Amino acid sequence: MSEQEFFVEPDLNFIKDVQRAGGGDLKKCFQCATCSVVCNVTPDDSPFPRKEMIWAQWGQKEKLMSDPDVWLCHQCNDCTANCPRGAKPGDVFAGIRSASIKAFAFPKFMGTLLSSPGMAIFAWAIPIVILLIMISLFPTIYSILPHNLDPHSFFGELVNEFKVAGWGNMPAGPIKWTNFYPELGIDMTFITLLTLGIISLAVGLYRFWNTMKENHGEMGLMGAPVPNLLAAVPTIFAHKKFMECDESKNRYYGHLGVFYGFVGAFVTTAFVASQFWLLGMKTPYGQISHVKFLGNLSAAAIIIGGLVLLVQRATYKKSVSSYFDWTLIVLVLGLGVTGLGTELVRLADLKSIAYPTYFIHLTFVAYLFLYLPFSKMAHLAYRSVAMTFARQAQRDLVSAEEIA
Amino acid sequence: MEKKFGLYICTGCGIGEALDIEKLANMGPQLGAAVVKTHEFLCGDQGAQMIKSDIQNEGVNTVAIAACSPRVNFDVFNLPGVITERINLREHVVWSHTPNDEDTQMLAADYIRMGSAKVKKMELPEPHVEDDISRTVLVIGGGITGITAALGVAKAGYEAVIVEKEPQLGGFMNKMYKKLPTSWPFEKVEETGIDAKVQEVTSNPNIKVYTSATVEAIAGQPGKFDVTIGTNGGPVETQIGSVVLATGWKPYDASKLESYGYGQYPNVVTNVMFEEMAKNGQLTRPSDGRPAKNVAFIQCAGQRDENHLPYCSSVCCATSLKQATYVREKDPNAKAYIFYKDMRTPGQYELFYKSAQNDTGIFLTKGNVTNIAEDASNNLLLEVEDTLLGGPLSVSADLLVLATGMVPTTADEAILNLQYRQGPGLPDLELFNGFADSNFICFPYETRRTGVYSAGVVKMPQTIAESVDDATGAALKAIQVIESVAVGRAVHPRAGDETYPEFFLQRCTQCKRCTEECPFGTLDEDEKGTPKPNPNRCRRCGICLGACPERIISFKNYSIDIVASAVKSIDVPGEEENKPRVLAFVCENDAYPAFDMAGINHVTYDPNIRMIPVRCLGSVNTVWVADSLSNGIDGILMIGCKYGDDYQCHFAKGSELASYRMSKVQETLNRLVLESDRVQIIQLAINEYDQIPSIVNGFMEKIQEIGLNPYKGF
Repeated sequence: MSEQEFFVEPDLNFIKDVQRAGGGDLKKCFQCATCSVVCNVTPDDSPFPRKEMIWAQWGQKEKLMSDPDVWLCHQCNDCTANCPRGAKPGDVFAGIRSASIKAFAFPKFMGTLLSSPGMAIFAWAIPIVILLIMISLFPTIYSILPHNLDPHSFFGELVNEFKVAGWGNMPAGPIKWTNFYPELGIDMTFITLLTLGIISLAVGLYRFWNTMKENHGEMGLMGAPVPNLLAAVPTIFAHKKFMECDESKNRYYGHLGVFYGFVGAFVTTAFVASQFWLLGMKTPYGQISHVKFLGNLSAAAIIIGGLVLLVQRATYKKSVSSYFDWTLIVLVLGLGVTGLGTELVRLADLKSIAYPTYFIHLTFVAYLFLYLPFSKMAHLAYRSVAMTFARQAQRDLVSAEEIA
Repeated sequence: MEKKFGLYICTGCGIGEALDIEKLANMGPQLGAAVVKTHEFLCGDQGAQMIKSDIQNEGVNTVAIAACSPRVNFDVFNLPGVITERINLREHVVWSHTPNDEDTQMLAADYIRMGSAKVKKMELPEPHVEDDISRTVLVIGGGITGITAALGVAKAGYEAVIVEKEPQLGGFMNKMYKKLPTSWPFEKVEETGIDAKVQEVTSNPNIKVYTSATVEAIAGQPGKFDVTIGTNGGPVETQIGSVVLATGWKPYDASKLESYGYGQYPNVVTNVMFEEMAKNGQLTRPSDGRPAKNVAFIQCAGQRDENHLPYCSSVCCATSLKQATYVREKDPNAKAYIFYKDMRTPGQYELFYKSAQNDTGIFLTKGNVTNIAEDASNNLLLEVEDTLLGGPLSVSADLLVLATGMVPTTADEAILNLQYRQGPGLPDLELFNGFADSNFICFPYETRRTGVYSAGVVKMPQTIAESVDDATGAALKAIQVIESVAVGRAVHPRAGDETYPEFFLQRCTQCKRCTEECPFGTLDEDEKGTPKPNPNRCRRCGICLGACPERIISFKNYSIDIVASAVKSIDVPGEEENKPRVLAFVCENDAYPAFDMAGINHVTYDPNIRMIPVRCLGSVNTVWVADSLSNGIDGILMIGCKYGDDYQCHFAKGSELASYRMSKVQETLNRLVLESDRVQIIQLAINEYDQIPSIVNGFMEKIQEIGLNPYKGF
C-alpha cells in the first residue's frame, strides 16, 4: 500500500496471539499470491490477503490493526482451500481480527479475559456473579425504594415486584418472570451492562478509526462517516459479500439466519420496551400477537442459523476454528435455545426448571452485553466500521455494477 | 600378419528390400574379400555363429560387417583378436534414403568400398602397459570430501594418502557448530559428526595421512605418478596411481565488501565468523560483547554480482536459515531477519526452509539492502527496498551477518603442481570461475588431466551431503583409472580403447603443435621440443594426429593412411554424370549418433553424401581434406560438437581446434585454386537430428551453385 519507508520491529506476542487465535499456519506463506487471485471479495487494487500474510509473519501489529482489509474479509476460505502451502489465510485473518479485538479492548484486561481459553471459567462466572449479586440485593433495593405508592399503580407494581423477587418464589405460585427478576431490575441490570459494553466498544472503535486514518488514509477521506455507513448498510443486510464466496456456501445461510434473528430479537425487545414504558403494556403477550410471532421467529432463526454455522465449522476440515469462534457459536445457540426454552417452560408450566432456565438465559444475555466489545460479537461493529472506512477512503467503493 | 578378409552383409531390417544385395556382394572379391556372405539376420545367433565359424575354420581374421550402426549390437559383433569394421547400411543408408534407388545403391556401394579400404589398413591394437602400476590414490584435502574419498578408496581395498595443509583433518567442518539436516524430515540441524569421521580415517591402516603438508610436485602419468609431498619434516616422495582433488573452498574476501559495512562497523560479520561464534557457544556483538538478539542476514553478499563473485554458491541460503535457528535456539525472544534476492534451497532443503520459515521469530523477505548505518550504540540500521512487505522498510539489528560465497581453492593456486609441459594446474578454470569442474556434459569428476578427479566444493559449490556423494563418485573414478591403465586401456570417454598414439619420431620437426594442442597435457617435451608421450595420460581422441603437419602420429586402427584410403576408395562419378559427392567427417560422439537418430526416425536427406566417422573433429588432419578434393570430392562437411563456453566436445577442445584449423584448410583451398566455401564446419548437438536434412541439403545446393570440383577426373 504505502510506499513510505517504515521501521520494522516485529511484535512476537502479536504473532503468537494470531497463531493461537486460528492463524497457526501463518508462517507457512511464501507469498505466491494465489490467495489474492482467488479471493472474490477483495478490491482489485492492492488486494488482500497476500499483503496481510507477510505483515502477520513479520508481526506488523500496527499495520494489521489499522488495516480495513482485515475486516473486509468474510472468511469464505476460498484462499485457504487454494493455498499451496497450507498457510490458511482465511484462518489467519480470523486470528488477526481476534487479536485486533483483543488489542483494541478497553479496558485492556477484558481483551485478555475473553481471548484466553484458560480464563473461560472466569469469563462465564462474572455475569453469573453479577446476576446473583443483583438477586441478593433485591430486598435491599426494595428497602430503599419509596413505599407510599398505590400497590396497583404502574410504578407501585414495579416496586412491589422487589418484595417477593428471587429464588424464594421457586417453585411456588404461577410462573411469572418478574417474581424472579423484577422488571425494573432487568432494566437496571441490562441497561447498565449494555451501556458499559457500548462505551467500551465506542472507545475501541474510536481507536480503530483513528489508526485506520493514520495508516491507510493516504488517498484522503471522502465525505463523512455516517453517509458512508448508511451506504454500507444494504451490503451488510443483503449479505452480498457472503454470496461471493465459493467455498463454504452454507455459511451464507447460517450467518443470514443468525443475523436476522438478532435483528428480529432487537426489534422485538425495543418494541416491547417502548410499549411497556410508554403504554404500560406488560409481558407476556398473547401467543398470537405480531410481536410474539416476530420474537419466536427470531429465536428460530438464531437457533437454525447457529446450528448451520456449528455444523459448518465442525465439518469443514480445511480450516480451523478457534476458541473465539466456538465461544460465539455457543453464545448464539445458548441465547436462542434458552430464550425459546424460557418461553416453552412457562407455557408447559414446568415450575421446577423455569427459573433456572430463565437465569441461564439471563446469563447469556449478560455475557452478550457485557462482552460485546471483546468477544467475536464485536466483529459486527468492527466490520461495519471498516466497511464504512473503506468506502470513505475510496477503497471498497466501486465495483463495476455500482457504477452502472 | 597375413590378412584374410571376410565381408558380411546383413539383409535384415529392410536392408535386403531396399538394396540390390547381390551387386554389393559381387563387389567383395574385387575389394579383396576372401569370404563374402549375406545373412538375413546377422545379429541373431545363427548369423553371429556364421562369422565366428569362418574365423575359426576358414582363418578369417579381418572382418567388415555391413549391417547396422556400430552403436548397436556392439556386443554381438565383438570379435576378440579379429580386426573388425562396421559398415552402417541400415541407419545411414536404407533408413534415410529412397529404397531401390540408383543413388542409394551407390551410397551403399561406396560405404562397402570405404569400409573394406579401412579394414585392409587397420591393425590389431597392442595395449601399452607400464610395469609396477601403483594402486594408491592420493587425496588432496582432508575435509569431509577428502575423508569420504579416502575411506571409500580404503574400503574398496586400495590404499589412500591424504595430504592436508592444516595441522588436523576435518576441514571446514571443524569450524562448524551444526550442519544442515541430512535425513528426513530435513527439519532440524544436526551435529557435524566430523570427529568420528576423522577418527575413522586415522584408525584405518590403509590410509596414510600427512597434515600440515602440501603437494609439491606430481610428475609422471596415471598409475605411475611420482608425488612429492612437502611436510614439516621435509619432502616425502611417493608413488601414486591416481589423484582425487578435494581441496574445497575459501570464503570470499570480505574486506572487499565495504559497501555492506564490513570492516567499517564492528558488528558486521561474515557467515563463517558467525558459524565460529556459534561453535564457541556465544552469539555476541564484537563491539561490546552483549548477546546478539536481533540478527540480520544479507544473502548473496558479494555473490551473483559482477563486481564480486558472479555465481551463486548454492548453500548460503540454507546456511543462513540454519544460522537463524542458532539465533532462535539461544533465546526465544530473539529475532532473525533474512533479506534475500531469491531464496534458493535446492532439493530436500526446501523442507528445511519450510521448517525454518515456520519459526515465529525468523523473518524472511526478498529485498535489496540499500543502506547500512550505525547508531551511537553500534546498532545497525538497515534500509531495504523492493521487499515483499509492500514498500521499503528499515530494521535495527545487533549484528549483521553477510552470507558471503565460496571461492574454490583452485582459483588462485595450482595445488596439483603437475610437472607437465602445459603447466602445473588444471586448464580452462576461467570457464568455471576457478572451480575445477568440467563441462563435459555427462562427465562428472573429470578434469582435463587424466587420473585427476575433482570432488566437493573445489568442483562446484555444494553442501556437505552433496560433497559426500561427490567424494564417493570421485573415489570410484580414481580406482577405475588405475585398473584401466593396468591393462593398457583408455578411460572416459573412449573407455576400454586399447589403442594409443604412436609417434614416428625420426620425422618429427619439433613444431610442438601436438604438445601444445593436446587437451589433456599428455605430451611432455625434451629440450629440443621432441614430444615425450605418456600413454596413460592419453584419452585417444587423436587431436595430435589432426595437428601433426608431418603426419607421423597414428593409432593401430585410426591413422592418416587408413582414413585417406577410405577417402580415395570413394567412387567419384565423372563430370558428365552431374552427381556431386560431399564427404562428411563426422564426430563419433555426437554427430554420428545424430545421423543414426535421423535414420531411426526415417528422416531423409541427400544421398550424395559420404560419411567418415572420426574420433573427434579435432583429429581431422587437413591432408584428408586435400586428398578429398584432389580425388574429385565436391564439398566437405566437418560436423562436430558445440564449442565455446558451453562446449559439448567430449575432448574439450577438439571441435574448437578443428574450427581454428579451418584457416589452414582455406589456405590449402586457395593453393589449389578452389572456393573456400567447399569446406564447411557445422556444430551439431546429439539431439539435433532434425536439422540434418537442412544442413546436408543446404550444403548440396551451395555446392551446385559453386559448381562441381574442377579437379574431378584428374
